[in-house]
Amino acid sequence: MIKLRRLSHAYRNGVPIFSDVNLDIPTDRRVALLGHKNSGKSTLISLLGGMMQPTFGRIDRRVRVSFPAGYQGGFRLSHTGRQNIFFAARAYGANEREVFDFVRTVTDLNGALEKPMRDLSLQTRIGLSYALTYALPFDAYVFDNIVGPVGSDIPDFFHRCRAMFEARSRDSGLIISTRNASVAEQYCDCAVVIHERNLLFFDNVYDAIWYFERNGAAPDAATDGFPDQADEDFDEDRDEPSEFAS
Amino acid sequence: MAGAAAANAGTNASGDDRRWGLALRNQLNVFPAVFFRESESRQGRSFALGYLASGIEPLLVALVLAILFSVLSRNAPYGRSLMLFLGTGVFPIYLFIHTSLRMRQSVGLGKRRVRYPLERPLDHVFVNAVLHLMTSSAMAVLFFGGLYLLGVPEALPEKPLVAFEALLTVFLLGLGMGLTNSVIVRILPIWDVFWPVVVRLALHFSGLFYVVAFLPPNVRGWFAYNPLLHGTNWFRHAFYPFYPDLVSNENYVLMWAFSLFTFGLLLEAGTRNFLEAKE
Repeated sequence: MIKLRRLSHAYRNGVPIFSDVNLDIPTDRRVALLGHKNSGKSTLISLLGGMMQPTFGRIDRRVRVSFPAGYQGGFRLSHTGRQNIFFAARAYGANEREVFDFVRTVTDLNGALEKPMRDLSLQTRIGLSYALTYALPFDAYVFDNIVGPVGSDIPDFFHRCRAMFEARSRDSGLIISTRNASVAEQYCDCAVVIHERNLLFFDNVYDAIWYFERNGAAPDAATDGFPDQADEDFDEDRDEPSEFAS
Repeated sequence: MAGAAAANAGTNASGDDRRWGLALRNQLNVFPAVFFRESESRQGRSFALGYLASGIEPLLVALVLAILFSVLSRNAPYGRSLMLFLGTGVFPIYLFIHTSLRMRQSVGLGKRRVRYPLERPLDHVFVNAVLHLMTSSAMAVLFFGGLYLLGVPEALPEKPLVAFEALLTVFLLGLGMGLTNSVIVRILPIWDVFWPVVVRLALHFSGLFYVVAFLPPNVRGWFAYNPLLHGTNWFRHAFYPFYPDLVSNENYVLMWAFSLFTFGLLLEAGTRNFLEAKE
């Protein structure tokens, strides 16, 4: 259970994203985090993962919450893949060999893990990071937009990520942010909807999607000045141009 | 795991216990992990080379001064051995200089974008501090041991405990200065260039190649404000039983060390959120 208590957050230019949110997010289910463009999905994922501190209020994590899957910042590029994996495993209290073997098997990188990380392509590093996220034992995994990288240069990697996702969902919680109702439907059974700087929890994902779509023309979606239907077709690629520029 | 969390959530006390347990377990994991990684390499260079470079600098300074002194055919300012006098000055001074520089670098590495969320910047600070203390001690033992074997019996300190206390105090002083620097450099990046130059002035004003008590009284009074000078004198008292103690106030340097360390910690904690948001 992740408890948000009187949580408020604003960008540094003072634009508020959340104000006075009180919510319990379960960490034993698959939770979709539904929000429109610029509603603060990625910010909330960063806050939940501990990547940044809220402007006001408290996030009470009673369980081990992962960093956002695919996170690159923990890697030292001058060190080898093996050293980086061992470091993460030690820091998160997991068995180094098990984690390393898991990542090696899933990514099919054998010799490449002995080379400095900066010799690997960005695509490969992202794949490595996703595999590492799944390999570490968390009680809740958080995902920004996507459960695995699309268009990875590791063959068949997205399907492997989906398989790992299913396996992890058996005894851990998963939180995925998305503005795509079909993603929520496909992966989740309950949802949190971001609406007017507040969060609403729905026990049933279909109720959440209904509410989310009914409030499609909500003021926070209209502020960016673009018609929202146009970028629905692009899937989620445009939120993370650096990671998914394939 | 999640079931246990739900069961615990009922009572507040047990929930808090669990949270603290989790935090402690994180620390116990993170510390050794950072320690092993940092000891494997120091900013990309290999371990041995990086530490050797910082250990050689004081030796080089002492050696150059020794050569200069003998060319000018001057005797040791105090005691029989010139090398010992310079060594007892150069080690505490460089312990301060390098510690104040090291910490600055390690907090920079602890920035939000280049670490996992469960690593805290202070983890990096303390791991680097411990590593630095270990290598400096090894270097000092080698130097003074070598001097003893070369036939300077005074190189084994009369009061080893006093030597240890003095070095620990100087180390704390450097740690406090380093923490403070680490914050300043994130607000004012030019500090990165400025501080290494400024801090090496300590070589001239901390009694490295002269005995401060022998200076004229009007000058001596100004020198006495420098806390590092008292640290150097403190260290020398461990080697020379009759070293002049006119400008040796141990409480003064202790007070500086503790205040600067506390100030550094508070400054780091107080500006953490602001700086992380800024980066």
